[in-house]
Amino acid sequence: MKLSRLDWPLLAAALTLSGFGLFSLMSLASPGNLSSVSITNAHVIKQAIFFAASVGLAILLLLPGYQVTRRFAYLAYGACAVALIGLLLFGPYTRGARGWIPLGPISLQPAEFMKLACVFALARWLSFAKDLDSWRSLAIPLALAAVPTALVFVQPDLGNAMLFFPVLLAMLFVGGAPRKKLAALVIVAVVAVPFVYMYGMKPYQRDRLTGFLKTEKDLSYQQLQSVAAVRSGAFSGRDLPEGFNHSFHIPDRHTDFVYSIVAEELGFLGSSAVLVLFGIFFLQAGRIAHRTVDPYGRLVVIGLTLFCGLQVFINVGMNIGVAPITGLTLPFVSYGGSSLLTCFLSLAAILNVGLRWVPTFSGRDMDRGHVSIRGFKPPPFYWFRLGAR
Amino acid sequence: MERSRVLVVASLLLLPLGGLEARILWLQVLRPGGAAGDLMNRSLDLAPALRGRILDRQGKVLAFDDWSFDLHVVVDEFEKRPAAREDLLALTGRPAAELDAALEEIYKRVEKLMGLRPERERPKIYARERKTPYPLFKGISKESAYAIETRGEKFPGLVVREGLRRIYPYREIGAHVVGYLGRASGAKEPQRDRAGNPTGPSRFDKLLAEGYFSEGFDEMVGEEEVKLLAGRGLFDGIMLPLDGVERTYDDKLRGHPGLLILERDPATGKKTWAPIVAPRQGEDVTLSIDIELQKDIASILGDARGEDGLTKVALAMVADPATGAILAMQSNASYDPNAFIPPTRTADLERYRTDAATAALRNRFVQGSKHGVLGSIFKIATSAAALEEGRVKPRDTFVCNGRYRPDLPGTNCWIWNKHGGMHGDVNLADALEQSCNCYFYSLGDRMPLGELSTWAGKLGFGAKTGIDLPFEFPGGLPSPATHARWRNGDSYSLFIGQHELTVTPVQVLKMICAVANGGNAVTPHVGPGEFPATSLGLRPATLATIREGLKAVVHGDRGTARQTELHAVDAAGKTGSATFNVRDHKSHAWFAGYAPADQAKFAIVVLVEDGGSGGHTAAPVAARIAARAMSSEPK
Repeated sequence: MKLSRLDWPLLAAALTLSGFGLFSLMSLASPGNLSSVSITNAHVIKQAIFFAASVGLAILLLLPGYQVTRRFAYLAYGACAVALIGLLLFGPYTRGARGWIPLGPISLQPAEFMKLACVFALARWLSFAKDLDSWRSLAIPLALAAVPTALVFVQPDLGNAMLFFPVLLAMLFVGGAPRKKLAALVIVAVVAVPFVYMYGMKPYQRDRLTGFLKTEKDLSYQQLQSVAAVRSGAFSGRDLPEGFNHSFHIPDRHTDFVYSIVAEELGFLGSSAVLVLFGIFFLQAGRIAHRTVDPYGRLVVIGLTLFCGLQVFINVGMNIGVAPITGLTLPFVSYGGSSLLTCFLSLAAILNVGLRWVPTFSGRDMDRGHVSIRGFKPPPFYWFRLGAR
Repeated sequence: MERSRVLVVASLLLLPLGGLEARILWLQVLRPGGAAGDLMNRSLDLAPALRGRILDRQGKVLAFDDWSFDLHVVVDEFEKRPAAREDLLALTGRPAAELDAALEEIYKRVEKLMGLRPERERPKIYARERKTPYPLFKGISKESAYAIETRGEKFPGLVVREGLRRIYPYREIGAHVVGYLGRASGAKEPQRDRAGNPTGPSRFDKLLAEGYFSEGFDEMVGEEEVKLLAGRGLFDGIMLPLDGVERTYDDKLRGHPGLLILERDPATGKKTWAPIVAPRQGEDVTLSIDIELQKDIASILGDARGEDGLTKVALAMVADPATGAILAMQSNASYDPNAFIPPTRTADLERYRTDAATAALRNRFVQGSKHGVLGSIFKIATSAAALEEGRVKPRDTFVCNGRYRPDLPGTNCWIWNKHGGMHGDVNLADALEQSCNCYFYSLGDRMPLGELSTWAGKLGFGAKTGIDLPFEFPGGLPSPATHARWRNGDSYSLFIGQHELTVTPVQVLKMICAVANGGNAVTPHVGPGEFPATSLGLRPATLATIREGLKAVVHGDRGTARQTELHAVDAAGKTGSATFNVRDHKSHAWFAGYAPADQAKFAIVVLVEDGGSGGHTAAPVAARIAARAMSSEPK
């Protein structure tokens, strides 16, 4: 492992984004801000500890090769599925949904870890698949994505549930599935949406989903307030005199609506900076995926980046009134341990692939001649370390 | 595996970012929030919703909501200008003590809100709540409201908000039908058991949990925010239904308050509102009541006197016997519902609560008098039972010689007790006409008590009638099953409607309606809705005999109500003198009847408490009411 191979821009973007998150938390916790009285310095400290722990863990996870994850992919997938099923059967209701496992001072959200496990499992299956040309060969990856979708949907956690299918599509696409089959899948999904909307959702979920489609006046209270806060940030952020009631009260501002704080405090400059940082993140991750010759690594990077990207679009969109309220957090920025931890685990995995872009052997890559092994000299025990096939 | 496809996915990720960037460019650079908007203090507030009106059958308004002005205060700003206090007192003319108490109340609320949250959050909550408008005075005058609104700099931190005030234009008339409202803050006491230990949440907390005050708020602002609004006391001014139609038809009548964001510029007091949840107005409820008839009955009852010449508590009900729709129910022991609406008239309320003689708040129509005795009118039920069970034939006669069982002192005929006389040979119709006790004692020897209980129950005694007014009492139909020590004399007493039979006037109305309409049990009611009548299965011959007797009460030579003007309207009915104090010979005077005798259009029940003889006190009142009711009947 050479540190020079580490993708520094990617790491810097992620750390800066988390910095924005801490900054907005501090802004909410400041004594002059009366709009979110329940946020105090205790939250800032807690988040800082989470941040430090996550970064430390991410660095440690750069040491072993990412190929280990392949060995445990199905195991992790199974464990997460069992956790989700157990949650549905015995889990407590937290804010109307069975999504969290309370563990003393913190609570874990298995759906977040399922995202990682699902990507690893899909990548492992796809990288070993003989072909992806028949519907039969697509059945297993479809099932791998459908199970978590269903388990998360019934919690109910609509936002996370609807992420799995697009990620699956992207991974199939990169994995080499035929375009016609993918187009057919997209059409089936588009046709299924109205049925799920009519029969699978509760009225309030429907309202949330379509609320933003109406005119600006019909946005929900939260979104109206959020848009107003974003607008009041103007170009360079607003500066209130001491003693003013700090404007907008937005429930869950430190988690789902954290982007509106950045936009209000730092204006267009700050809110653009966040988007640019995410842009750097996607570009660098894309470069890693493109450069690596290991199909497993490539699929992992694509899957994780897409999960992250979709969350960014939906979360920022709901903050500025162009996407429905779904309860998705903004990666790296939002308050919350589970969210932050999975973000940095994803980051570690992506960076790890970037560190080890050396060719590995998958039969299919060899067949198609993408991999050249001319001049490659395996280090001692290299084949052994690649793990069991 | 096609590596070029990675590039496609990566570029697909960058495209939406561009879209979002365009949107924030639009929001923050091209259409930024106005500078003035930034300096506003914002708070959530309620938009009051009109409660539905209560109308009588002609559409006259018995209750409506009128707009009024409420005063809210932002303590932080108000206390910055010390003179504001004196100015406010001078303007509104309220005593300083009231202002102090109101401010004290606000601080208590803030402390309570702070107590609900962890220690570290409290300083911020305190600072925020001091900058939030809190209710201060309700119902300030129009002039004060204008002065405060137009001179914001003189009255910093004072916010005039629209409020609602319930008004009952007919005051005491029909109060027991319409009912009254009370402030939600009055329902904050937790429920307690007999020993005074709290057993459950208060009615206010229950309603709050059910979303009574905040329907539609949860989806918009969340549960926490609703609790905050409750903590600030914004729901405390909402009126809760306490009695009458206001209570039974509350689901229709009540409006659902809306929610708005109130934006204030603390420097100038300038306000703007941004509605979040629109208020929904309540629906009107039209009653079967004829308020003009009710008013006239009130004036007739106003000088109701007992045989001793003293003014007595009296009440009367008029209904359509075919449907059970009540046209009027008025008592001269009534109250003014306006007294309950803030600013409450405490002296009046105190009088209503403490004056045991009138007990104006007691709804005697559905709860009965203190002594719910009925007396001879129950003989209608006895007659029906005996005829239906075949224990007696209409023309069977018994001899009344004044004393039925000399060994049982309680079994004398009233004519013996009063005049030392006797009725002689009487058949059933005669017995009803003259209210002969001995005849019914004889029936008591001929039929088992169970048959009487069955028929009395069918006619509606001992059970709630189901009238659409709250807190109805079922009354009591005694039997050996309910009374451990049941003596022979008790059965005799029950056959003439004495012993421990207790009734409500509305039960009597239900029975007399059944006689008048040909044997259908109706549900007496005042409001809209379906109240179907069910047939009791009385034989026509039974009804004919009873009606013959009731007609003779008014028209016969020896009828107990022959000396009244009831015959002028061709009425039929039964008098009752229900003894509730044997030693002092005190009795309630009853009359229950209908007019005209053959094609009944009105059923009437009159009760004069402690009025003495039904024939002498209740029947003349009934005659005047019947004459009034018949005169308004459209021909």
